[in-house]
Amino acid sequence: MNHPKTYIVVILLIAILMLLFDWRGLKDAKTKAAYLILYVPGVALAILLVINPNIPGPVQWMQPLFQPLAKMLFKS
Amino acid sequence: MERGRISAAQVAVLSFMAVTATSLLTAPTVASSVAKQDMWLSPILASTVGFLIVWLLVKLNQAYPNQTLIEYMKKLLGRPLGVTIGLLYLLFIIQTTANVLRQFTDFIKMTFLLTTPALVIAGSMILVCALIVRGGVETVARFATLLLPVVVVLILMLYMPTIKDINAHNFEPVLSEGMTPPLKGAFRLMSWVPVFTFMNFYLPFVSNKRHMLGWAFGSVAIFTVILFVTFIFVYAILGDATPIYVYPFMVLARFISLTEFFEHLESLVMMVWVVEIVIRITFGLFSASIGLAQCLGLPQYRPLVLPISMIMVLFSYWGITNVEFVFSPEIVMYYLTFGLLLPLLLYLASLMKRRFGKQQKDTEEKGEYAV
Amino acid sequence: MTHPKDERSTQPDVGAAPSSDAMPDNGTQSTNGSNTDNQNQAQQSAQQQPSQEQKASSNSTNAAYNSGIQMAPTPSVEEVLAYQRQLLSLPVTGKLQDNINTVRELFKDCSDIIVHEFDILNGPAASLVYLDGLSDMRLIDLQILTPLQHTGTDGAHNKEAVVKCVTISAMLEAMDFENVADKIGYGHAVLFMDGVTSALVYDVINPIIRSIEEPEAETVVRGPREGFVESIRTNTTMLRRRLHTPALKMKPIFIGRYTKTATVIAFIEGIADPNLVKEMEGRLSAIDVDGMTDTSLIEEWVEDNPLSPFPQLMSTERPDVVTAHLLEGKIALISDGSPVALIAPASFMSMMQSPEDFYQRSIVATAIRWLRMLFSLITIFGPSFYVAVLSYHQEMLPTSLLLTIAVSREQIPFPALVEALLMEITFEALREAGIRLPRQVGSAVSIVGALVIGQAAIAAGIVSSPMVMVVAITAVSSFLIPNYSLGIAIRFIRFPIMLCAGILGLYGIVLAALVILIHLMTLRSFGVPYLSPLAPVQTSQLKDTLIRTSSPHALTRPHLTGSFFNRIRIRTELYKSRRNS
Repeated sequence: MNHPKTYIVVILLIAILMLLFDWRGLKDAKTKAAYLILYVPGVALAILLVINPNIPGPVQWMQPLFQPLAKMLFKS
Repeated sequence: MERGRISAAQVAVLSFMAVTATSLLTAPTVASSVAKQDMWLSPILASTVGFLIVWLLVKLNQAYPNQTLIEYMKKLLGRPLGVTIGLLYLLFIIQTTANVLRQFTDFIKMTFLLTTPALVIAGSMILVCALIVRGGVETVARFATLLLPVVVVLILMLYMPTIKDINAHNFEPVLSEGMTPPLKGAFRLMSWVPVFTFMNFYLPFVSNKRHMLGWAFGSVAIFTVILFVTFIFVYAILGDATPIYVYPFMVLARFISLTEFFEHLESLVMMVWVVEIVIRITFGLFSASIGLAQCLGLPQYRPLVLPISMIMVLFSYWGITNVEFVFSPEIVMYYLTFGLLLPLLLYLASLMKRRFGKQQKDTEEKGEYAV
Repeated sequence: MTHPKDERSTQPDVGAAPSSDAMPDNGTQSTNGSNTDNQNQAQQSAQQQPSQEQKASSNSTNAAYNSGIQMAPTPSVEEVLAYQRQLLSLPVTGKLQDNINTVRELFKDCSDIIVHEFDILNGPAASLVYLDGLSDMRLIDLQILTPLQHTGTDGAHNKEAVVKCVTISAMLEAMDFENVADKIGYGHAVLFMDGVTSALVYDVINPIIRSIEEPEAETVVRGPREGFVESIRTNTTMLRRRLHTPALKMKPIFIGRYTKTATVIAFIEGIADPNLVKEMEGRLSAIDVDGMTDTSLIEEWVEDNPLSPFPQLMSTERPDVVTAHLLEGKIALISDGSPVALIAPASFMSMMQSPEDFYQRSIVATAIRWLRMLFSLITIFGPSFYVAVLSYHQEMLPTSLLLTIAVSREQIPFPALVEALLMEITFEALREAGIRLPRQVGSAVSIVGALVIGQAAIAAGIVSSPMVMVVAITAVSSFLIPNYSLGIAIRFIRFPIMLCAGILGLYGIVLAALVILIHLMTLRSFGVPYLSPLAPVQTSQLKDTLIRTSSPHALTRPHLTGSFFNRIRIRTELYKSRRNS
């Protein structure tokens, strides 16, 4: 990531376009809430990823969960 | 929520093309790294799991004909537990699809567009997929059927010229180390086979449910055959050098030289792959969108398509440092948990419920009498 | 004005607007007029208008026009409209003079109206009204005036006697002036008689049409050489001449407040889905415009997705094509003043068929069809493929070819994308110029164009010779698409694809192609998927899509919408038994 600033600008631009495109289709409050629950953390995560691409993700979290299982199966 | 109607054949074509997508290019490396010359046996062994998954899904669908896995899970496990596991399951769908997207982006970046930012590649790809998914289940299914001949012709175009390079001695000695290496290879293939579970999101829209089981088995069978043939070709030509290459199928294409003019058909591979990946991602994206909408009880799934696609792009980078990670045993276990274990448990639960449900009904009726 | 629609309409709308809409407006209008009766005056001649006939309708309106006998400023549009509307709503009265006055008032300032007043021999006084030029004078003289003035009605003063006397079979009866005005406008002659409370309308339309010629946009080598003309009656006749059956229905509908364009929905009852016809009628009746000058405008009103570049109704000038599609259960739209018929529902593949396909031997036709599809693919992807290969995938080319291209591109200052766009746009400009220019100049343009695109540009080092070749092939192949509007759409979409190719190489091309494919898949024409026999796959129809089977093998009609009832279109038992014996 050479130019984090341009990336952030591009991502914000895309995010705004997306919101503009979708907003009319969001009729009821429930859908709006669900949309925003996906949208806001999504944009925040995108910016975080641009600043630091190496944040541990869900993959790292579940690794310890499944590692013992995998090892057990592979040994046998 | 979705009024479209599709046929059993369309679901079959859609799912086998989606599962074939990434496996065509990367599975030979993964399987050959553990199974060596016996890797051709792995797809056949792996297919048993595929058949099991598909059978479970069809059986569950027969019990709950107009519901997806999310919906009947809510019914079987109760609302709080159902929604929680449902969200985890959706996370699994998004994660697997994001992994595919990551593999694809890396492939394009490594082989063709060396300087293009990954965001552009992944973004343009996911936009096309979102466009399809917003078109509804009919578009998703039709898209796969329409492109089936294109993909088949292109794949055959890649296979045919390489026939002369086949060296059958590469497969010797057969099963020198017993069944363990092919079994290990089959286990590694489990990072693809559980994707068949996404089929449950399409089964409620099938109009001719009578033929569903046959078509679903056919889907797995065709997947097995394609993988088998690919493995044979790749290993017969590349031999024990297969694990070295990241994309052996690409190397196969480089071997092609027709009349000294048609050389370097890697672009053909790329075209096949773009089409296949689009199908694979729409397969996942539609499932995730409609699943989330049902999980949260929303009336529409279309508004969720774009945010979910955004999250998929992010997940394809979040915490994944290299693509090889995708094929690690932990990931395979993760896939199997949600792809095989969850439908199996749900099926058992539905059996239990049917058995105990009867008694419950009796007690309910008694209760009514008491009142 | 309560209803915005009515502000501009002189007459109660023929289309969707219920006629009751126009009626209450008369009331409001008239009160308007009485309030402002001093400052404005409807028409000069309104003063000559005898007031008896107006008294019949409404008093307040009378005030508007009678009080302004003094010279007053010109009337406003609203008042003119109200006055016209009022005139049109009048019934035909028993007094001849009133009727004549109303007609004169309606057709005031129309220099081509002829009001012929005469006495029927031994009968009532009468008046014949028609438009000069629109009606056939000879017919009027011979069939209406001669009998009436020479034979007469033998003292009878009723309308039956007159009907007996006139020797024209195409006759109607009109009760009000709206009807009368419409009929006169179409070129009918209207006969008013003293003491008869209806007018007799005689069809004496003068058919001034150009002769039937071969349509230039859709020529065939073997096959009928007639094309539609601008007259709807001739066009429907051409259809009727091919389909001699009462099952060929032609439902009329009039579109446009001023043009009142006669439009006909043609379909074969028993083959076409009734719901499809209903849908078409519904969409057509919703059109409420000032004028409809051509079927292409109707197309814009009835198509499903107006934003798509692809035509969703098939347009053709050939009656044989319309006939063939009618027999497949589609419906056709013919409109007066337009030599182009519309066929709905249209699918992409049906527009890739040329009528020639069905007039040549099936194997040859299949081969030509494949050729056509191949070259349409080249049209779409040719230039973009060139751009992508040169910009991103040089390794795809054989070394020797790559060297040749590199040498020819050595001098070129532009990247491949700019070069391609430049040449393609130039070509499109030349093509457009070739169509618009007078025929004598057209050849000059093509020569100059060929020189500009070809020799000079290469010599000047602006474009490379391989690029010229690519453009030339694209140009030629784009004309293989039989349907003109589809051809334009396909030529248009190659520009965005070229841009994608310039940005993302082959990956961009594939993505763009997929986007177009998705668009085509979601597109529907009257409920029928646009890529119909291919996606969703309908195996029974593939016989006439990917290949063209010989006629005895095309057993079933295509299934468009509705039920599967009545699908068998031919019976081959006899044919087969004779063949085998």
